[in-house]
Amino acid sequence: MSGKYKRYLVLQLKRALKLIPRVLGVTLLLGIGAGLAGRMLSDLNASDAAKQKIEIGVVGDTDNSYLQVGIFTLESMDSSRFSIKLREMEEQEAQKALRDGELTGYVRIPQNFVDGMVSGDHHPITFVTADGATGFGTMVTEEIASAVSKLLLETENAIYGAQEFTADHVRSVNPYDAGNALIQRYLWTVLNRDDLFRVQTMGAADSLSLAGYYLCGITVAGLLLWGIGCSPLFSRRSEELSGMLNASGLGAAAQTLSEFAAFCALLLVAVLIIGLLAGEMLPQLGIRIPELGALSGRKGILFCLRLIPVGVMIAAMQFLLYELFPGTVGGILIQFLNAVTQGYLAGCFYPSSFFPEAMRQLGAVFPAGIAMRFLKESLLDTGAPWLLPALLGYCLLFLLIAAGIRHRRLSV
Amino acid sequence: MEQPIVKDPILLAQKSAPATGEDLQVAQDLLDTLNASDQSDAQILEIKKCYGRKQVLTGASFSADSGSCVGILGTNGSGKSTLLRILAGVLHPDSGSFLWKGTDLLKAPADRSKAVAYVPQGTPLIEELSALDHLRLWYEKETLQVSLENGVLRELGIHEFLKTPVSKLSGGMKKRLSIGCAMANDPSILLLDEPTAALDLVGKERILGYFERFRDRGGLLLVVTHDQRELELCDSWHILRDGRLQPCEYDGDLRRLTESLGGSHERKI
Repeated sequence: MSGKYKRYLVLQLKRALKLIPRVLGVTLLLGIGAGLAGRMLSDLNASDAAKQKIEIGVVGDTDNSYLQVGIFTLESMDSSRFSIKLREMEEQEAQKALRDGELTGYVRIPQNFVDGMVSGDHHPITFVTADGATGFGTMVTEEIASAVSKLLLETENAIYGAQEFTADHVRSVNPYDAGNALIQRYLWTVLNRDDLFRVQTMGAADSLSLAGYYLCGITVAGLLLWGIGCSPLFSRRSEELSGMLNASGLGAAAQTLSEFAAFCALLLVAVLIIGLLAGEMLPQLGIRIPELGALSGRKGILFCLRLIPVGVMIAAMQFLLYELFPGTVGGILIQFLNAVTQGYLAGCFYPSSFFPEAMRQLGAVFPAGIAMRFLKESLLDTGAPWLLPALLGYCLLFLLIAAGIRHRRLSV
Repeated sequence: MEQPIVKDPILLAQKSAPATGEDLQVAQDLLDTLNASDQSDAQILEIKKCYGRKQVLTGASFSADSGSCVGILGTNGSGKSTLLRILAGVLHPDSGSFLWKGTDLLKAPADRSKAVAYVPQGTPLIEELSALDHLRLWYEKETLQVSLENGVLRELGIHEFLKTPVSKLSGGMKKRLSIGCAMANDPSILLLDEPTAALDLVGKERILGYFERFRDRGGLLLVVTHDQRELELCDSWHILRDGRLQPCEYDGDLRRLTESLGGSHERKI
């Protein structure tokens, strides 16, 4: 390494480190802005979303009259009748409908669910989803929780009904004692709602939990948007300095490498800081990534390691864009457009399974799409050996083009 | 209107006869002969440069000796900065030579970077970094220490603001730092593009004082300027017009100089 190259590299690294607070500040502001915008959009679209019905199958022991009342109520309640449609069916039929995409999922009611509930013998309800239905998880979970609440309410009504019936027709029993006994048993056996249902995904090859999917999506989107935050590093770049360095023997390739190394270091340090903060804060907020377990676990470490090539590749892409558009306004604008377009196509904002086939295929070969898949693979523990070379290939390509542009600019 | 004294042989040839191709060739031969016999330390010969279709320099030539200061004048966009950037190696000429004691510096980048220092009009500095950080880029460790203690950096007063970030330096300090960085290789030729533009009087005098001492020590200064004080520093003057350099005289009368630059023509319009 020549003396001047080394000194320029140190200079750029020093500059990048000095810019960390500013870059983190800009990124934080962007994050808050994006969060607020997302919140406003989701509020605006809430009424539209409410009109989109999802279909859920109900299989298993649905003969119980209490359950029938619960299903009927669920379909009639204001809170759910616009968003959910329940279809009673056989399990095989439900599985076929699930594969065909006609159902979002189905609920399997175990044999003697209500009787078991009354006797304190819990048989959990199972919710089965398909692999592409990641985005519906929360919604369905909420609906099931709501259904169970409804069941509890109806069970209470049944207890009071039984009490009144006893008062009218069974003279040998004190109706109030009988009612109290039923309520006590009900409280004892049913109120532990956590044991009443669970969500189970079908376990197809590409399936990720909602939290896992969004971890990958938010990570890639965050890295893409990071380029905007890094504008202070590029917007005040001195063209005079570039020319003088070139004249003194530090050519385009050496300059590109030094500046890119500093940009990468800035990105990786910030990712480390944000990662450590997220690792501390997410468990406290009750957010758990099922596939990841603890961040210090094997998968957690693997995920963090995989962030390095992803970060480096995205940094190379952003570096190229700043080389193409060196002005502040043009640079920020192109970074934003790139982040939104690639993030959208890669499925960072909506699961890519929502998109038409052509868009899915296009998104999958875009740099951000490859990055997304690479991160998903680390959570799923599946191997696609070509993803890492593809990431590195993109990185190399971007750097070569950036060096070419710099060389052309300096060779005037 | 009194014309400036013209010394360029090609222009003499153009003035005394119709500009036929044959005559121009004769003039070129004459110029080549003169150049061959020219014993000046620095010879800039027929530098040509075009941007796309626009021919900015059509054959700029002049010569100068060590221990002198040459002023280059011209209207905006006449190609003064382009010429300086070519001599500094920042831009590449289409053709031409820059001979320094017999070596063509345009073809010997290593020799050029040792012999030539360039201080551009803008600041080739990074705002977030300190003066010391910049000096560390351009100077070897040992040289830096010596220069700060008893060399050009001390002379320029850079030791006074070594650890201050560039963003907090005044215009004069930035210019001194730029000069300090440029002087890292102890060059013989200093190329200056409007070095004291927009500086206050104190800052200007401090920098001009350094240039005077540099010249007196045997250095060659090539200054692109519009500034009276900088013009006074120069020993010879050249006007860049139509892509060529024409020697001219300056006796302290700015009005006359302005007229020779084409100022009177503008007033008529």
